[in-house]
Amino acid sequence: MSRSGRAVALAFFCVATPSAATAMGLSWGCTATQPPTVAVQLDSRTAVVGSTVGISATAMSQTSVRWFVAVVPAGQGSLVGGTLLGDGSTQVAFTTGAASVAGAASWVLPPIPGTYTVTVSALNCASGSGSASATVTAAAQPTILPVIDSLVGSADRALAGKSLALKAAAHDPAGGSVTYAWSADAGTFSSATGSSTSWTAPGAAGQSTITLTVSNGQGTATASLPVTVALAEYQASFGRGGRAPRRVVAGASGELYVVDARSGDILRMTPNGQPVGALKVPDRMLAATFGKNVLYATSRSGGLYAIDPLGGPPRAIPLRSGALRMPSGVALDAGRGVLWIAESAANQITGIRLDGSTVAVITGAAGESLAGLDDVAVDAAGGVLWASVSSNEQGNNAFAFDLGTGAYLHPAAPYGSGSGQVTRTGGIAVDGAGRLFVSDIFQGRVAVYQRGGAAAGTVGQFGDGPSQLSLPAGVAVTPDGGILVASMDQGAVKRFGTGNPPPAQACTVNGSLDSDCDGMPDWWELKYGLNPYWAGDALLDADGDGLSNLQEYVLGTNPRVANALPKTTPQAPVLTVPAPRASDPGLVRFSTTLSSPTSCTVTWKQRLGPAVTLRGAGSLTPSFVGRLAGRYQFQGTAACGAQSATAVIEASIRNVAPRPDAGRLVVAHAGGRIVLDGRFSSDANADALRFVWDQTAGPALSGASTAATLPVKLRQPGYAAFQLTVADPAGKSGSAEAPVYVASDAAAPTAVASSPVVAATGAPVTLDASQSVDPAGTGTYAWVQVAGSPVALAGAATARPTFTPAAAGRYAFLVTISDGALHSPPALVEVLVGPSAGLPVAALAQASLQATVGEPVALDGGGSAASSGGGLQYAWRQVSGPAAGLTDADRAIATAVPFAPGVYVFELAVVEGGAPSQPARVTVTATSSTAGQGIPVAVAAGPLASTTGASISLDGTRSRDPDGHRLRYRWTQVAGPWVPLEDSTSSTPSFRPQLPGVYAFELEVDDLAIRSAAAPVSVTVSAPGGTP
Amino acid sequence: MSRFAALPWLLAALILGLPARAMDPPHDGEPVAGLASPVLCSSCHMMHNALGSALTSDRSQANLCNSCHATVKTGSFGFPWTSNGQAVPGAGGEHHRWDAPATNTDHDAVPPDPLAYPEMSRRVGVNGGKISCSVCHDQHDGVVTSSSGSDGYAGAGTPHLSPVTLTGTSSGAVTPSLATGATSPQRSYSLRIVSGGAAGTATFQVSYDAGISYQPAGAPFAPTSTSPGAIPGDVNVQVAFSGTFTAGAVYSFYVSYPMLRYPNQIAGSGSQLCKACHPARFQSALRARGEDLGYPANGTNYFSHPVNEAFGNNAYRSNDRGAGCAGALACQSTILDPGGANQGSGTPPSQLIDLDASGNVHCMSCHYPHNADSSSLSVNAR
Repeated sequence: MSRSGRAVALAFFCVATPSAATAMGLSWGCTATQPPTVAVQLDSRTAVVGSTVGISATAMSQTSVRWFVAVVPAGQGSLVGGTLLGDGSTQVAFTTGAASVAGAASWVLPPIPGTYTVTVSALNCASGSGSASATVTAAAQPTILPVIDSLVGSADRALAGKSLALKAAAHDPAGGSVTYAWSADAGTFSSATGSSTSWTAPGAAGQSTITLTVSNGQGTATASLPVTVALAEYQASFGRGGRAPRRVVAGASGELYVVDARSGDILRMTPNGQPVGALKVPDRMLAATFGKNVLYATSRSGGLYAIDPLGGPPRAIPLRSGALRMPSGVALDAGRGVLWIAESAANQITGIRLDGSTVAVITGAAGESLAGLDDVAVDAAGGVLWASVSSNEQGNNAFAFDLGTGAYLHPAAPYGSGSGQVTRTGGIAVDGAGRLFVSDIFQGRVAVYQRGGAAAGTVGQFGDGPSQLSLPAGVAVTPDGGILVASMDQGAVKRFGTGNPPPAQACTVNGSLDSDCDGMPDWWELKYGLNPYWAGDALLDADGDGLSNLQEYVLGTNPRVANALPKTTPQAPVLTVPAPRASDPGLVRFSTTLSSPTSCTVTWKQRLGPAVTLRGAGSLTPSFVGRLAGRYQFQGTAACGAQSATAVIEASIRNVAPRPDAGRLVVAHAGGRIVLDGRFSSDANADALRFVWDQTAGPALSGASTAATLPVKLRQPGYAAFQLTVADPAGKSGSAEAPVYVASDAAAPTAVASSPVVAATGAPVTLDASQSVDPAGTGTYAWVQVAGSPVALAGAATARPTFTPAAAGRYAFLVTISDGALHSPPALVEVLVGPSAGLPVAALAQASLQATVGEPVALDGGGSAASSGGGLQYAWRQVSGPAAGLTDADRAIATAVPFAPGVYVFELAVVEGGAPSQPARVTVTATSSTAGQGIPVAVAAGPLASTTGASISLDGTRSRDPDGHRLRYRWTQVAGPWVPLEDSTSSTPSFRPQLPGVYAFELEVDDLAIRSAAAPVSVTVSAPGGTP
Repeated sequence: MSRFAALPWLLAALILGLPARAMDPPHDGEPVAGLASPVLCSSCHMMHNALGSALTSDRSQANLCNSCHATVKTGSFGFPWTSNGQAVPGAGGEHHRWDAPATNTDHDAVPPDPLAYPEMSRRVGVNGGKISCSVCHDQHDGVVTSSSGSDGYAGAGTPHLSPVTLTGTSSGAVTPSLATGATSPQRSYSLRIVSGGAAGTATFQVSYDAGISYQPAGAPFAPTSTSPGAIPGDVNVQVAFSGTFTAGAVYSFYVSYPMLRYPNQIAGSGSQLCKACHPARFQSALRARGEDLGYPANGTNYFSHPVNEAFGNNAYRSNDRGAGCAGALACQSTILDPGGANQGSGTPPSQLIDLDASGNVHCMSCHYPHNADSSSLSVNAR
């Protein structure tokens, strides 16, 4: 014992037993000088809590030991047989009386781990004391853990959503009982506390860990079991799925159908993959889906058909909205009776009722087009329509829509090669749980998604082995939950099970054995000499009656005796025609539509009206050139197996007003005679014409006349106008004026105005007639507005009046100049008003065209352009020539039909927001192959220059008629101061100008029936020795 | 979807120093019917973790090619081509194999000579001695070839005018056609509607680089004529417009060829593709007749029908063709079609036996590498 320890022990002793020690020392009267020597030992320096430690103590003294005890402080355990002291400590007293004493005690350690001390003290008779201590470290009581003897699962793989049996055994080495607790990172247990349970795998594929925890009250033991969760397991490869199976369809009885992308056939297979044969299809098919006892299939040419899965004839579903455009996927919403079709060439999903009418069209998802649209699938339970696009590198490859409204819901199948991603879709399907299966034609697997779009894993893997996929395209889910994948590159259909057993090798039909699963029981096949072990005889027709053996079984007829075929009425095509309409004479076009999924032969023939040649009589767009007023009807039919009902198209040719031709301006001497000739008036309807001439302006020169020509004696100078009115028998009439200017000997005033004038709305416009010829210098001007919103002209009596147009449009004015005695013929000024940005431009594809009489010719103004990006209104009109047919005159491209040989001029004006364009003109020269109908040719010549006062001769003698007809000559002054022509109807007229200027004339020649184009000639006249 | 998605790749290729490759339509970023996205570099290549050589995304080149080409729904070129259509002579199939070793004694096939056919040889090498699609086809910048045969049979020479794809919304239709007598290059066309309206009123621009640039840059723009008319800047293709167009809509199509590595498989010095792997079968008439003293009939040498020789160049021609053969040449200058009639305008294109302009016979006079009518890849099953 150390000195300090000893001092402590002694102090303890003195404190603990002061009265006793004093009493004992005093009473014994001992002479010892040395305190006793005390030693203490423990039988273990370490022990567990609560255990008992043996204490051995000795005390040696020169005299007898009078007091010898062991003490354990409070909280440090207890001494067996000891006495509890007031301070909580425990004391055991040993035997005393000898100089050397020994004692032993048992020390029960406390239950708490720690280091504890026992102190032994002795006192001799001289009151010398000694003590010693010993310590023991008490460790915690060791735990006895249970032992797990085994943990066994029925498999180390599980299918998603399927159960796995688990069994465990454990015991408690301490002999106690144990409890079980099961847990897993996914999935659920039938019992979480039993030694045996079953675990239901989660819905997603992946690795799961099942953990078992066993407890015995003291501790626990755990064990884990890794389990691979797969969505499906390979079951079979049906190796005769066509050359390139693109789509696969599961039938109601487990049979399957494959659409072969190479042949376009639909192949039927038994549930266990044996080929049955090709169904009757009308076309190369693209996709199919199963309805109630019928396959609905689309064809490459855009048809929709109901295909008989028993091998009967297909039925075309008439498509009310026309043929489908590359319908690569189809799915049936049986509840609503709607077929959803992926029209890949139209980037749209079309909902079509079973009667062929269109119910909805979906053209995009989340603002994106459905480019690359490939397939559709219906999740009826979830109310979801799925569509897939192929290889959308910018986003997702599948999109969900509300099945009822078509509204976009959410995406799935993001592009990529990683987990949950799809590179290029090949087809989609939905199972009863709403899971979406998306085949990845590049990755060689099928990605699976929950209804909400979350990835759930994959099925299959790329490769060319039996269980692998290469170019997987179509997907289908069988009624028992099997997954069918068309492995296109392998020409096979792969079946993956989701817990359902593989298809049986034999089937039953109505309770009878069907060894080859072809739908016909063995006994029936044997009865009629068919092969009960070969499915390929199901679609054959043993008796050649048009019914397949399978049909005969279903119908209960004898496959060896020809039966009368059930009456089937091919679906008749429907020709839809437009309502009757009216048209001006000219080309009349019809646009009809045909509702038939197959190509039909269309035939039209006339049934009413003046006989015409029907163009496109075998097309859906027949047309004819109509001239005579009246109703024209044509009846047509379409035939494609069945024949459509007769459809009738009708158009009425309007009776239009004749086109008067009163002639052009005549300038002549007073006292002379002229003949105004209206015989070149014509009528587009080819009606006979009545003529009425009447003078409408100027000094009276002639009375009214009903002849085609009007002789006029020009009694006095001045401007006169004669109106020609031509009318057809129905009273339709048209009028035109023949202006005549009777010149005096003096030089004539001539109004010359700048035209057209282009102006902006709101900006002042100046009309300019300042270049008019006023020989006397006393001329006065008179302006008259003849077109446009009325405006007030400022300075209307001057050569340059002004006005400010408030609105866009065409304004026209006539100006005359008068020298007091004579009024000039009026000059026309056009003002084209538009926005400051400018006017639209009427542009023609060609300035001149050649045509054949009776044949339509297109007048193309499609190149016209708006100035402000607005829409254009088109207005075509005929300017000159015999009356022609003119249709579509309000379109960019009008159609003209010249009814007679000659030269025609048509004019196009376009309007943009009220702003007119400058007109553009196209000349059409129409020829006829009929003998004697050549078009005369005018050739005009004259001197280039001359002087005032000189007689100037014009020469039209080189004009000619191709048929040798005698020609008439019509010279018309078109520019320069008015001057009368001498002998103006001859081939060589002359004039004597009094004023300098450029005198321009046009020569037209005719053979009394056909008029030539105008030939120009001009002469520059100057004063002798001067300039013009 | 961005129409310029290919541009970053091209820029990246330039920055990284990768060899820039010309790209022919439809591999040039042009929208392709049936695919949601245009075919971009990334459609086939990966910058990292690529499984195939040349950074292609799949070790199996056939799968890489077919994963797009099998999506063709129109039936063009006989697509889809599938592995089970690879020919085994005498057994089945209609396509030249694309997965076979380049060496095959049965068919006198050897790997292409690296000097004469460096690219073909290299590609066989990197493919482990096997042939693959790109041994014969250059998917990046194949030659514009002019061989014989109709679309889907010879698989060579016939320009393919693709379906029109629409980007954006517009109800109008664009109908392209090849100009009569034109030699159309491989080219993509994107017609962007500038001002909308009815056909005849609407105007358009054209892009020949998959929408990267359009011409003309400013007005006036070409009108949307309802009758077929040439596209500004291109005389080979005509377009007709119908319906109503919306400004901003882009109509895309392309002219493409089978992207062969060598042109003119029938004309001139043709047959290179065949000769590259089957040189022993490229025999002269002299050798085929057994008159080549350096190539005797010794039981080891095989003889094949002469190639690149004039039809009828047969020293043993005789007058045994029956009555009516006034002369041997006249008899032998006639090729009969499967119906027994003289081959002519009435012969189906798929069954034509073509000679080159000099009247010479070539491999592809009788054989088609794809969509053939027999397992020996003959023009028809005769």
